[in-house]
Amino acid sequence: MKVIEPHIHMIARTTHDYERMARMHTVACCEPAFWAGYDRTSPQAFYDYFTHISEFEPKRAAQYQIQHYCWICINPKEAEDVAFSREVISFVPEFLIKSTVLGVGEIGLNLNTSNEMTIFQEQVELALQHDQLIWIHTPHLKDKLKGTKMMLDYLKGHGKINPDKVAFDHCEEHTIRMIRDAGFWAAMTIYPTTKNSPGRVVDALEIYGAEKMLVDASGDWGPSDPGTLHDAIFEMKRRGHKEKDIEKVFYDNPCFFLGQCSKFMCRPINT
Amino acid sequence: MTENTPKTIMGSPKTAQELLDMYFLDARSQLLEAAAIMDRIERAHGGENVLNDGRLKQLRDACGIIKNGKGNRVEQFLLLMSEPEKE
Repeated sequence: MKVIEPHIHMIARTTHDYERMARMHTVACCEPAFWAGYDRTSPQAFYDYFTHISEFEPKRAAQYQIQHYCWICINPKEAEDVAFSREVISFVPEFLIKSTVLGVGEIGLNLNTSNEMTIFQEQVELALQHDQLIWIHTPHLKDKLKGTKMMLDYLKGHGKINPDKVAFDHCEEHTIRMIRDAGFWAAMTIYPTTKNSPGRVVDALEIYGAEKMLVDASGDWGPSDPGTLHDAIFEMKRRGHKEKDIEKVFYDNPCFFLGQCSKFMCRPINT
Repeated sequence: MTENTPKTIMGSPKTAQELLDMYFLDARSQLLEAAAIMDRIERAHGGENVLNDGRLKQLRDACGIIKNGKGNRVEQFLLLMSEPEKE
């Protein structure tokens, strides 16, 4: 069974991880632009970062027969400085036309401040102007519920947002229903201690169904592992789910969402 | 759920008895770890002083949800751990 990893920060991972992912039948992965573990000191640092994830990582992944795509934006953890953020946003369109860039992301909120919200809204407008998909980061832990509602309320009231083209990531049981009820895609991230476990991801699929649901491991420089995506696949098998249902979640659904961008090459098996 | 909510709920192919057999030891282990962490904090130097820390209270309240909740314990747990929406 082929697998797509919808969210992973390969810039922070070793080549050995590409090898492991290939052996676990991962055929494509997507890298949203995010924080590096420290605040970058200039807009130019973002320019170099965007170049890295849109040009170098696809070459590294190709050695393992994995297609590498990315998303471009200024991330919410570095969006508190509005003037700085606008400098970064000014050259985002230059990257949106590259052959491996799928859209604007991962935009969103971190501490739910008004400055973060301003930059979120400006990047939503940028995506609309350039007819791009949007990948949204929802805040961590105690800030998740409030931040998710803030962004959801804004997008629902916007009037020009097509929810089919927007995915909210890092969803958990207290945010999944409201996101899907509004017609957006909901992605669940599996982490060793925060976010979701493989067992809870499969619980959520059993409760809410697989429509407009995505699963990712969001591997980065912190405690995380690309293998957790495949742990969830094994958990679904262990519970007796059909191969076709598992394939829908881990391959077809990413194809349906990401395939709305014509640059994404994988095609769903079950339509 | 609203009319927009997809209706294709997958459900569990396993019976409740099968799931209990599969997961009892996992649940036992994870609850035991939580108990051990709370004991560890309590017996450490200054343990008495942190008994009223809001985070420990949240954990004790979460234990109540696990014991007395029904059907949506996970969602209740996460709501308990969330910042109030309006300050």
